[in-house]
Amino acid sequence: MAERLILYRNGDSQLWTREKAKLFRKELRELFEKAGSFELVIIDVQDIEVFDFSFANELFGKGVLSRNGEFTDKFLAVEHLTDYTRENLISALEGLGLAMLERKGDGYRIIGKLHKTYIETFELIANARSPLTANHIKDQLNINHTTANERLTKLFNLGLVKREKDRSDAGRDQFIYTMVE
Amino acid sequence: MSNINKLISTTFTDIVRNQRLLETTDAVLDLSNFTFISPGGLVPLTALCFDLSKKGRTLKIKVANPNLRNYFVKSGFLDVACEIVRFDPQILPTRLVDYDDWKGLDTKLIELTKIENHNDLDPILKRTINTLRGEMKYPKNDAFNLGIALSEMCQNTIDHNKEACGFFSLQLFNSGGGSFMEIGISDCGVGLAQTLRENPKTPAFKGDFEAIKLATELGLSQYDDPTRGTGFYHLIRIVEKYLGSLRITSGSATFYYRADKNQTLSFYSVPMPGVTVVLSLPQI
Repeated sequence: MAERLILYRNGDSQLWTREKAKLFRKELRELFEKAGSFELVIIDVQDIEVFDFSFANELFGKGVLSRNGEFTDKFLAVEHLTDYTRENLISALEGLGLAMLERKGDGYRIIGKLHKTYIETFELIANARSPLTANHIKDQLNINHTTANERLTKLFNLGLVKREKDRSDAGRDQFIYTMVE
Repeated sequence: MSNINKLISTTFTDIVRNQRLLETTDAVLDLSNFTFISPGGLVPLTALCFDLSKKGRTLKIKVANPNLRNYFVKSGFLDVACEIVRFDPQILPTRLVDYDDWKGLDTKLIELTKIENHNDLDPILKRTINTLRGEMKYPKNDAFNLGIALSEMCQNTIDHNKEACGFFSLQLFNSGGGSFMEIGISDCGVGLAQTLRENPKTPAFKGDFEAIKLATELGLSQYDDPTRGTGFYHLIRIVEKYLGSLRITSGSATFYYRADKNQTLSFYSVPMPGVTVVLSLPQI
């Protein structure tokens, strides 16, 4: 069950300023601390019409940096973006050189700045019906094993995919990759 | 004798220089033959008054034109600056009672507002968006885009000036080619050059021109923080998109960008305290 930070409060659909975002970021941090390992924290922007870049930078930008730096065993996603708020969030994240998960329905996508090779790898995992290994990625994308591992490790470190230890048919330790639940 | 008769963004620094407002102890702003004020002149004037006040000086403003005198009340200038300026002839404080009755009712005007903290921004931005959508007929998302750019600008005035404050004003005008909106934002802080120098990672730069140029680049600000320093950058993108114009003055430098003519000008002006930004946008 995901922890959820709901931004729409008291009829306020416009979120302005970095200072306002700091209040939400404090709550986000508390949710990260409360969430268990490998659990998801969602920033829910339903009914939010607009937020400015300072707000986005402070909440989403620093939220992603916190997740990637301090809460590396948790996952972060945003949900219920409109086309407009998505465009602005993407602009904010790209300006910061960051990427994060957007949950839409039952699926996920990456928004923000990430090289297309990582997105390509992510989409394989997102569309797969079962966990994938580096070998699967290597074969499906026709890349070498080292490259496949590098891509998967990066996606995992950015909190965009889940990774668990497993054993191959040959009895070797390996990692399997799935989407965040 | 100067033939300037409008207090607007393009004449303000000339007026300051011609009338020696920064040099003389008993500064007098003579608007006797002036006929017009816009936010682009009003906000830097307000910032100047507050800056002079910090130095123990009071600006006297000579203005007899009844329309101009009315505008000083209606625009909110008297409300914001009544304790630090003197009008000649005097504008009676009782006029402020009238101001309280009509403040906020004119959809073509957002009265001069002093910005001291982030809470001051929310009502300004919401009114601006309502004006953009209602009077200027901007689609919702376009109005939001402008609100975002303005928010970034106004936050700059608070974030970069610990002991100073900012000022905001908006006015719609009708001209032969349609309506246009002018927004003025000004502060009496330390200016862009000094604020950028507080960040040890700011590339070396020589003076005010380069400071303005750097300030318009993404990610550069007073802070060593990758999530800050986006205000001017996004403002320019919006001016480009809507074919408006933008004027930034800091220290002795002015940068002027006119998107409809793809024209950029930079020139020296009288050294002024703080930063002034004047944004002009046409009706869509």
